[in-house]
Amino acid sequence: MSPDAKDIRVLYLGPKSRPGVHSSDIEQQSKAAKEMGAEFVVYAGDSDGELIEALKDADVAMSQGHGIDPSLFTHMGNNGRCKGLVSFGHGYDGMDLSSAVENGVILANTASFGTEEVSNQTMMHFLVCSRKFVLHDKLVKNGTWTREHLAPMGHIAGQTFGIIGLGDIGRTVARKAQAFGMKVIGYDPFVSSWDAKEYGVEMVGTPQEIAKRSDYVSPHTYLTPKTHHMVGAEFFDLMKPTAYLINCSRGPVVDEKALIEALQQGKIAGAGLDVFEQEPIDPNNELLKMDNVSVTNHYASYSEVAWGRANTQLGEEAMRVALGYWPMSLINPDVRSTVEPRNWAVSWEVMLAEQGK
Amino acid sequence: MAKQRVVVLGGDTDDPLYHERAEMADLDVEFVQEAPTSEGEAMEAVRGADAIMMRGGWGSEQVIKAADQAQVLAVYSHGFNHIDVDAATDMGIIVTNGAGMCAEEVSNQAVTMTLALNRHTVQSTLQLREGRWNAAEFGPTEPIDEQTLGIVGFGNIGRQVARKLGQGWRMETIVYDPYIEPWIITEYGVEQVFELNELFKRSDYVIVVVPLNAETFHMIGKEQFDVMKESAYYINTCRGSVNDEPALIEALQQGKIRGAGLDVFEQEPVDPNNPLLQMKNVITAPHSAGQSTRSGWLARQRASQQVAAVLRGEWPSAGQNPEVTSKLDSKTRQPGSAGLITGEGD
Repeated sequence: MSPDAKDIRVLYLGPKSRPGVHSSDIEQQSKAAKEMGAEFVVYAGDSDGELIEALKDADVAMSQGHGIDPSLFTHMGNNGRCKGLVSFGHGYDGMDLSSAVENGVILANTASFGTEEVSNQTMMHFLVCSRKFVLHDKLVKNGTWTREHLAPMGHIAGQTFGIIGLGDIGRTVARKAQAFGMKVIGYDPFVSSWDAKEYGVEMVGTPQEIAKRSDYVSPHTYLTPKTHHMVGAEFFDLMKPTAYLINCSRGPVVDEKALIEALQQGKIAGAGLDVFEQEPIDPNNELLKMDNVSVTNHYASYSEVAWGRANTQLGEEAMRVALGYWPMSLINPDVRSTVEPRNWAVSWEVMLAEQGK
Repeated sequence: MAKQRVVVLGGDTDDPLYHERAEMADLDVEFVQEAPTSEGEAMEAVRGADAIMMRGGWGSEQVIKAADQAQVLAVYSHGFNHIDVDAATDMGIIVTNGAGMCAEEVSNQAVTMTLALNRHTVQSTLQLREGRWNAAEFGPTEPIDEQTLGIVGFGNIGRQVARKLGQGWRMETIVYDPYIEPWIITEYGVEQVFELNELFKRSDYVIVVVPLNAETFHMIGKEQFDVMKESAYYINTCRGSVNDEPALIEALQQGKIRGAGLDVFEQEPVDPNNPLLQMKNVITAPHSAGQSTRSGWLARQRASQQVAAVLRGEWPSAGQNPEVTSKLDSKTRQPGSAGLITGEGD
């Protein structure tokens, strides 16, 4: 028996760094609750004690960069009224998934909101690297007009683009790389062969093969203990000296020290980076001094459309959790074994109809 | 530790099981092949099995309840409507299907029927064999790149149909699938509709590719055919009983729709007197959409990969009863490798 929407209370946890949320800031996030006729409450406290009290009176919580201590899970899920937590964005590094499963806390993110943007940022860094844009932009602006630094420069069409992690973003990057005429190879032990085939990607059995064969390598994985420093010294040793590393996922997926060393020793040709091990980046970081390295400040997922969609999706996923459905972007699927059975996730429009709205 | 027992049910009992053995080469398993001729024999065969690979139709509740030790029941086919999934879930048995083993073939059959209906291919052939020569007889041939394709069910097969007819032939594509994530819709550049009848109302070609289950049984009937355009075609390459066949026959007889392409029927083999076989605007196939020289062995490879994953203590990639987790002692398994991708004949 699913609860009535009018009895639902959704708790919104805003960024800790920006207290005092205005109602205009949360229009998109509260849209779904409003459409269902549920109550939307903005959390105003600033201590774990206050948060525990607030969670006791909410059916679901949504966090926008709030940062939740895993100890709070013992007051949620099977231990209280608040059944789950939906968080803004893609990555869920820093969340204790097993503690959430143990306590029956359903976790969701706003999957795929920035697939277009992140894949575009990846393609931008790849082009900037391949065409040696950073160096030449600097030379021209400094009054030097020379072609002596061009070689070696790849033809792009016919070159090989290696993708680690073929989720939504990896697949979209694959499609775009194919539009440039590139051969796309992929490594992802969890993607079925028919999915890879559907996307025209040749799957390889090891990350090492990606390193050896690719002219451009781009990881699109989550940051987890398994992917931490997945691209490190051994990987760079195997890469071609003419190849580039692009990273628009999470900084620690790449061993940054090893990357700097590989670049200094000319083991690889350059890098395009949206993310770093330390953010904001130390202004003295060696990477910032290199003309074969393009950098951006972790905004790959941004566009007004993408972030707007993430905000709306945040609200919809929260209502799914509160009304007894599974969220569409469940990030701890093992929780299926520790909570009561739920309805399958359905499209928001269908859900509105099912709830008689 | 004793060898794990993999029981292969149905088919030849002296099959060399090349793919099954290859995929489980790292496991300590023994294969037992049984071809039961009764429920009782099937029950006897599955007792004590650690894994069941099912080629025949022995998926009833009483057979499954006799599988006292099984961790997994793998079917070789895409459809698993012949398996009592609830009984398997009750027994804590993971049910897997052959997802992806024939998506290429089934989507091609759907595309073939769409084009054949659009181009009146079957009618033309029959006409010429009768010694006539009269294109006017077929009625108007619409330009397919200005027509709307409606896909019911957006899984592996539906997406391939969208890629082929939507992106390839540039048909405007609309999709009905209440369970699909919105980002898949975006990636395929299709339009999602949220009511089945809207899809039937707007489409020039309706292609149905859903699994048969309690929710999809007769999901398409008089109500849907009534709202279709008289110029529209209906194509079913999944399972006969997702549509109400008498209602389809009536719609065709009354000219409510222009024609149909049917790979499947409510009764198979189809009764030779079934009126559908007498209609010039209906093209048919003997439930052969999934067939190719590849799908036969790919089905074996896939089913074997699913069983191997479960016996290794992993999650299979094509599990069909996720609610089974509530019945399992070891709740946490690693996601299983999807299997090596070799020799798929690109």
